[in-house]
Amino acid sequence: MMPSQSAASSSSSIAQGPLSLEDVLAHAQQLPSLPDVILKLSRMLEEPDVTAEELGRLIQLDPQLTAQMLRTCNSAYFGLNRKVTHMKEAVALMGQKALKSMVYAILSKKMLGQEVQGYGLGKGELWVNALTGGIYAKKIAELYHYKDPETAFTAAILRDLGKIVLHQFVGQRYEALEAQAQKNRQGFEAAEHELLGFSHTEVGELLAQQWNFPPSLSLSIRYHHQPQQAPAAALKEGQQGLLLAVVHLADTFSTMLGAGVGNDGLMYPVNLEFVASQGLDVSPEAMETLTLHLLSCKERIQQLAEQLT
Amino acid sequence: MMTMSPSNTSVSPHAPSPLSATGVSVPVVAATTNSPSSDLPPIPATKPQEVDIATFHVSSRRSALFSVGSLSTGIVVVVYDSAARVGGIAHTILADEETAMGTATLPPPLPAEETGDGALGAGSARSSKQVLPLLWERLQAMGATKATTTAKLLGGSQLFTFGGGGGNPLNTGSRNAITCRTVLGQLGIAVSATDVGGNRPRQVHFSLHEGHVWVQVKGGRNYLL
Repeated sequence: MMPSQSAASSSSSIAQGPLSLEDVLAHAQQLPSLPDVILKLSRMLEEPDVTAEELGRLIQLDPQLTAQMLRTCNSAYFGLNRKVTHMKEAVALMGQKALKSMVYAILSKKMLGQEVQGYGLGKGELWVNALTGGIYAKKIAELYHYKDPETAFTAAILRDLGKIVLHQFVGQRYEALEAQAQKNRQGFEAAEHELLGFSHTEVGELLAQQWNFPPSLSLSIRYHHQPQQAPAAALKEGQQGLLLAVVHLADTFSTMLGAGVGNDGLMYPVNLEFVASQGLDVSPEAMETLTLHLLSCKERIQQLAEQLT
Repeated sequence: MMTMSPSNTSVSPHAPSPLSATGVSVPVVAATTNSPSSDLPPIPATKPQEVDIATFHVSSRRSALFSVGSLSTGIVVVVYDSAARVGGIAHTILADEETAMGTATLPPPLPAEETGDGALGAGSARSSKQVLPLLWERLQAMGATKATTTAKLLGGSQLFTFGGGGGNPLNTGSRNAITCRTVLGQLGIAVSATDVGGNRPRQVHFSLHEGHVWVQVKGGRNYLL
């Protein structure tokens, strides 16, 4: 799936009409490349019988990643009681799930830390939103008994990956997109799809598939604004429906509480019917309580951001 | 409680889907001053005091400048005494945290702290009902009086919410704005300007020098409230 035209030439044609898959892929080629070690790690972490030794050996191939992982492992965020100096030990102490969260957090910093001009986001703002959503998702997962809070963190931190490609086109058509988003309150994502041919969630799903991310992550990226549109078969798999509800709420609250919100602002739908269908209490009192719980995550977000900077 | 006159009340240009769509009867009002941004007084170059979410600050320093970097569904209440030149700002999230359920496991709000010189104070501001009386008490101790003090309300943006039964469980901004008005009315403080609602975040600067409040709507206009 290689592009047949340059990103520059495709960019000039978009202002007139919808994007093609080739346009999107051409721009995806311009993204900073992900270190091989991180991509290999993300795949290896999906294997159930991978050992701490194998993971530690792979991480040590990248000195920068090794230093970052050790620093994070020794940080207040993880709260371990002793100093860890060896990668194998760090992997064993953190556990595979927490390690996976950390790998994706580092990956998200690399991809989302840049300026995202088309959405009016300065350097680092999209990442702040991603990180906040990740911590909120983990907290919501814990509160609502989703079995794997680390996966909720990972899914939420990557949910807006598509914005780093689509923003170049959003900036050119912002006024039309905004008008369309307000029409019938259909939202910015639907407006992107209608006017540009692709929404940031669709582009994010494409990127996730290109990088061989696990299907549960692709699905969360694709449906984090409209979870009710996810294929019925996918929703029936394990706790996938609950994961979507958790990521949807995390996205909603990180926007409501103003973490790295762009020009698309709050022009997104919230589907509380779907959230309730997954067994979550969506009464005003429950939502207010959740707000207070999420506000109490501020320090944790700051700690993680400091460790990854 | 002060009410806005009909001539003062208009739908904010950046709020095409006003709160009335949710069935909540909070008036969505525009800034009382619609100056084009080129006519606005400049924001002082002073390093601002950032007002984080769920915190409040008060000051008697003429040079004090407060900034809210990203105001979304929260309500910012700016209180200013034009005679005593003292002011405060609170970035609140909920109307009344006592209505939330199961908060026993949550850390309590931080107590308000003095910074040492008596001119500046700060504290936790999760909900308006709890924080506004405290903020007013602090300003009165700094010389503020009801006769020369006014308040301005901003924020309360909201998402497009579907489902959730009666009312809108996530419409915390408009519930909060109603409570702010009620509590300010009980305290005897007049509300001089309001800009609540819409779907965009705002950035706010508040200077104690003249009491100006600058608003920058993300993806929209800049104006003085």
